[in-house]
Amino acid sequence: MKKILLIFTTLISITTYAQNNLNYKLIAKYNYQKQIDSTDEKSKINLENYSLYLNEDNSLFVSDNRIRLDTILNNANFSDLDKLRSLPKPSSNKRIFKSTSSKKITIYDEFYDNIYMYNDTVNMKWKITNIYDTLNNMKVRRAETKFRGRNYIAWYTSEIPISDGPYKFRGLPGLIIKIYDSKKEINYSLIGLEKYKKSKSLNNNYDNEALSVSKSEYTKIKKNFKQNPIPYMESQGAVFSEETKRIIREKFRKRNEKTNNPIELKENDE
Amino acid sequence: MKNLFLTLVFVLGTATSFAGSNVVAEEDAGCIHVTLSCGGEYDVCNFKGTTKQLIKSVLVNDDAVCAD
Repeated sequence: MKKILLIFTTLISITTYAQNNLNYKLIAKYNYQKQIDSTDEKSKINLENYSLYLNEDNSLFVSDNRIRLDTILNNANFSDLDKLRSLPKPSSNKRIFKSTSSKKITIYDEFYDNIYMYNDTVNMKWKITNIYDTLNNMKVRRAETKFRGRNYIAWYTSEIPISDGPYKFRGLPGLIIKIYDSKKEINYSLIGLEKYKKSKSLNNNYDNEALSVSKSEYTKIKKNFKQNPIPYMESQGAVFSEETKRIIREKFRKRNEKTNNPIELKENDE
Repeated sequence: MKNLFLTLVFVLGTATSFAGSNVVAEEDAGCIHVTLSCGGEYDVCNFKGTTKQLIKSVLVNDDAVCAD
């Protein structure tokens, strides 16, 4: 009986392990540029590199800096704090999980000590043009779409017949090599492809930690946190002096003023 | 007896975890005293999450106070 129980427990562990890891054979690496302040063209910066981890059924789009942080955080203790503080911060903590069988996209976003998980349904209507070019030594074709307040121009290649791309973009008959909005405030450009003969595994254990919320709940929580983070911080046990609270309020106010140009200008599809 | 053992393990474990850090974080009566990288200080009291969550919150607080 004990043996059966042991085998059963082992099988459950293996299954759980498998669910918590994303197997992939291809990584599409993108450089992300963004104009952070819509009123200041000089605020256009190379934010960082993002990776799109791909297999036949799913993909995960996440910042490389986030992955680096997670790798240390997963087994971290307080002696790792200095190391963690010295790492470059991700421009976004979002992990965007797309399934080929569904229009739903699952987003994991992290702020403060929690990971929030919500579903987003994206209906992207593409207009494929007859304009061709060459990018990254691949023949690419121009397509256009509107997405949540911005007009986008995408260049995709049929040489990689994967209907996916950076961020929430997908739905073209090939991988998106470059995509930017008409104001050139947002720009994802492919900088490399990593192909593997054998599947590699990426720790994807967010489901175990994430709090499942609706998109509107998530938007409300995040908005409240950005506008006034102190009640949230205090609810998690932080006890600040009045002077520290003043500094936090001031820094968040300045940061909110500067970062006024989100990718999604509207909540929903047009 | 079991509870006493668990408490001791927690206190010793916490003390050991803090020992190697240049960032001062000391545990005292349910509160952890944190010194920020730019010199400020604050406490975290009765935190109910995991060590990982506590570290994440410390990083965000540090960024909130110290980042330019």
